[in-house]
Amino acid sequence: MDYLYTVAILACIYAILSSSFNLILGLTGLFALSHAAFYGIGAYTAALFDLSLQLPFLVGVAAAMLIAGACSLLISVPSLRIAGDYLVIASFGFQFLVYAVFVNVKSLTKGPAGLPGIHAPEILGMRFDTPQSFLLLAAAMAFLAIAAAARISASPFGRILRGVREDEIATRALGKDVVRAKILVFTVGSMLAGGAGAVFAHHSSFISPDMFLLDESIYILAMVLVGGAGSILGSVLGALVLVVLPEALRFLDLPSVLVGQARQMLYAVVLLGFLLYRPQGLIPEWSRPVERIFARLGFSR
Amino acid sequence: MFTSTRRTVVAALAAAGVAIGTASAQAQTVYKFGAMLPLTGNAALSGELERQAIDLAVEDFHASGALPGARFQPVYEDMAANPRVAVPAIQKLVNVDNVPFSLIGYSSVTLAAAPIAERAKVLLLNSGASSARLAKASPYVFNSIPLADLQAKVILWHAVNVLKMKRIAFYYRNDDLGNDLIEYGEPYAKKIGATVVRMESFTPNAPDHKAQLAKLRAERPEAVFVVAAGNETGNIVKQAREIDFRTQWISYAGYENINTLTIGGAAAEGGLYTVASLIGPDGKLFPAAEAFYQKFEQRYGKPREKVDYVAPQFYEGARLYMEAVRILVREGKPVSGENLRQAFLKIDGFESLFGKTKFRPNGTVLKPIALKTVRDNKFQIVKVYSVEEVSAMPD
Amino acid sequence: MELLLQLTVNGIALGAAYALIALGFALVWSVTGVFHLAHGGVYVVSGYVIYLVAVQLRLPLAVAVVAAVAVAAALGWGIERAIYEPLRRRGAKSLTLIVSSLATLIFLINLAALIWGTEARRFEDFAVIRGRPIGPAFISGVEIAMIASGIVLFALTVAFLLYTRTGRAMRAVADNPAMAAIVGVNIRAIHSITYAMGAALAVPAAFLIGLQHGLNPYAGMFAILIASAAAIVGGVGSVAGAALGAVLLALAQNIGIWQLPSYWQESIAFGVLLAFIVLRPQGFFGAQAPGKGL
Repeated sequence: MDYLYTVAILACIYAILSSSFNLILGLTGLFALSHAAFYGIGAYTAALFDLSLQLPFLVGVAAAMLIAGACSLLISVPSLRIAGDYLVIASFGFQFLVYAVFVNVKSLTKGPAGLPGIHAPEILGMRFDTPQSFLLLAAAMAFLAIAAAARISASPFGRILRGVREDEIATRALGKDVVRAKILVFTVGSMLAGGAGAVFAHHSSFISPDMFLLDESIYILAMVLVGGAGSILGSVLGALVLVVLPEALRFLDLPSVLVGQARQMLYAVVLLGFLLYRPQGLIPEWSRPVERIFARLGFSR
Repeated sequence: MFTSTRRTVVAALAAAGVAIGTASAQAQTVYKFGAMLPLTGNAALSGELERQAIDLAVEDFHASGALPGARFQPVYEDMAANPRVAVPAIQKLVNVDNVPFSLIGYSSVTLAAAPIAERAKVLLLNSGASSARLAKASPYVFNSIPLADLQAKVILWHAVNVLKMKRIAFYYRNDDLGNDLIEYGEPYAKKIGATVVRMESFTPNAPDHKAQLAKLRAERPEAVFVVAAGNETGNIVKQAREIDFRTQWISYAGYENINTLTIGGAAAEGGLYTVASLIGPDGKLFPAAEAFYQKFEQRYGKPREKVDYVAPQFYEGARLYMEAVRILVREGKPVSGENLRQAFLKIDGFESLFGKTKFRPNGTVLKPIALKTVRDNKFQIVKVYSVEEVSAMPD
Repeated sequence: MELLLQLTVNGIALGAAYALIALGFALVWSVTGVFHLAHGGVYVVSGYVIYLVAVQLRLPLAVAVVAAVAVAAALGWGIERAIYEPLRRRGAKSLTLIVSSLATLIFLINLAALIWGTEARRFEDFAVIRGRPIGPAFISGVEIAMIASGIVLFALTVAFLLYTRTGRAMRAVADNPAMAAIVGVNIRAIHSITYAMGAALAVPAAFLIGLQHGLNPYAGMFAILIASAAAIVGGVGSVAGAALGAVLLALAQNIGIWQLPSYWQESIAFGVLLAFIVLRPQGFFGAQAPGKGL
């Protein structure tokens, strides 16, 4: 059973990552390749708050979000001031830089060996030290993050973001501060990724730099696009599909050294297929069921 | 997957973690064990060799008739040399396949899997990673491969005391293994009287080493201890030659990679490195090792030059596990992770690919260490340091 | 000083090879407006095609190079026709094009890994092992070839853009596609030529870097990072700037570690890139470029 719980916990963590990245990519139309870097920054922050400062889990989560958000300004402020493809390359490079910091600032991160022994979370005396109990915590965190993303998506701010995506000049003409909106949503998305990193660090109890590489960013990107850019429920579904599918493949006997590359190629083909034949993804943006549900529950406005 | 209900019942018992040590000649008892290998990604090539080696070990053990009625069944899980992928992989082995034991490699993967294995009391046997950190990873991590500190110790001792080299530089892969070897090797070199003139590092898989090599060359080291993996060693020695940087390369088992010869060519000649020795004091392969290479070629058509140093380690790892199971069956004890730990410590007189293999109580092994070099574009033995000689070197 | 000279030599040679990759990338970017990440995949595949023909099939090197140019050009053209164009026809935004380009990059890199394996492949027969001295520093034969081909192909590309009909049409499309269409330029044809030409420029870089470091499918990722960063440093829309940017980045990476620990080497390129985005977002030749698309 613990195996299923572990897969479910990973699905929750990736649901946070994909719905937060959807705010940036799907809603606002900003292309960045750095989501895994902020995820990693969050994971390292939470791990260090736990291991070096012995602070409680929730403090670590808050710190992870704040620091990931602050770091995001490093690339968003310079590159979003200017229109064009600057963010693509700045985020691409940032992904490499963050890896270099994780590996090289050994006094803080212990370098490539990674940080072992991160404790199980404890909230108000409750310990989440089994996969089962941790799943509850991860699901609660995922729910909060998804609710936040859905709320942003359904808010007037969400409409400005869609405006930026559809027609930046027109949105600016309406008197909206487009640059500020873009930087803000990038920060929020990165903060949520940092939170996901904190959950992951406490789940796996060991983190190392090679967990947060470019392919992780691409993996999250694929979740958003398969699920449906702009649709928060879509990215949750996308995360579910892309976490469960490879695990399901473990149960098929595919005894080939080529499985890995073939799988990567399959991902690429599926992505291209979606872009060409179903660009709206599994759940199109205009059918916003989650947003509607949350609106009804009073989360929105 | 199972051909008889009987086996299913047995497997179900195994699944419940119940004793299945009562094997009779008629009843087929299935022993599942895990093998977490890099079946995809950059390291997939060695992963495939490792899988073939394990399959061969199982076939050999069945054919030997050492434990009649036992059928060993490896469950291969891909960990892609990535600790993130390793976590669900070990969870599946522990909770779905209910194995009491798994082979594993890669230090970050082993470190990520260790807490889960420890909680479930599943024994991991590292047969691929050399990081010295693994000696202390968990009581449920055993290492059948001599860890890097041992290899580094022997090569540095040889360079300083036999070759009388005093100016030593380090050039290392900036990853777990590289840092680990440096953390151990630098103070050790100083301790035995050498001067460490420079330490440089490179990003894993970086193709260009010239800038670092130029910095190293400027210090005129007598020997450079290089820690690299895969094709990197070949690139490094070749690029050094291109800037006319001549020095004595010293290294660990990673030097013995076919790419070192194909890429490095003439520049790789003369490099010295240490590796757990498959060669006995008589200068010949231990009989079990010779048999392994012959069977490997027969079975898979791969000559011994194409087999890296890790594949025999996994063959040995699988054989050690089956030997431990044999001990438990003989003692009438159930095959659990905890009992396997005890059984591993009792292994003695086992015909190892490396002569004799004996586990120390901390879960590491001592093996003879060979000093090897590249001569005439071939990996060749210079000298074998016996277990006694290695133990006699200062720590 | 000896060390600094050596680092400079290494930097210039590597920069010249990077410049060829960046040249193709910038050409596509300025003429078609697509952030063509798949260019890294074309680069990887063309290296392996040379390996296939020259090493595996043992045909003459010249045949191999011609084959690689043909395959690369066909691949560049094919990506435009099979992926970008249909997407554009469906009104896809540049975001979608980048994602499709990234997917194509992943596809090509893994295709190469599937066919040729992840183990490095070598062009042993053509390797020039012995370096030759320049003062106290050394330069290898491959490095001399890198610098020479970098200069020659750069000059040819610039001359092509300035003095041929097609080249002028490409610049016109880069400058203002709508206007170019009005004066009768066949945009579709120009796009196809641009992709094919950009791809072909990657072939000598793939061969020379392959000689130097061996072929590795995953090298495509870092190659495209450097090429696109060079294009931004050089100035968006400036082909000449991209080539200079590549040399600058390679020099910074090499000379940077003269004093810095070498493990920051890869990060230096990003530092230079970020500095440019903050201080001079238009790059060397951005807004003031004499003729756009050059």
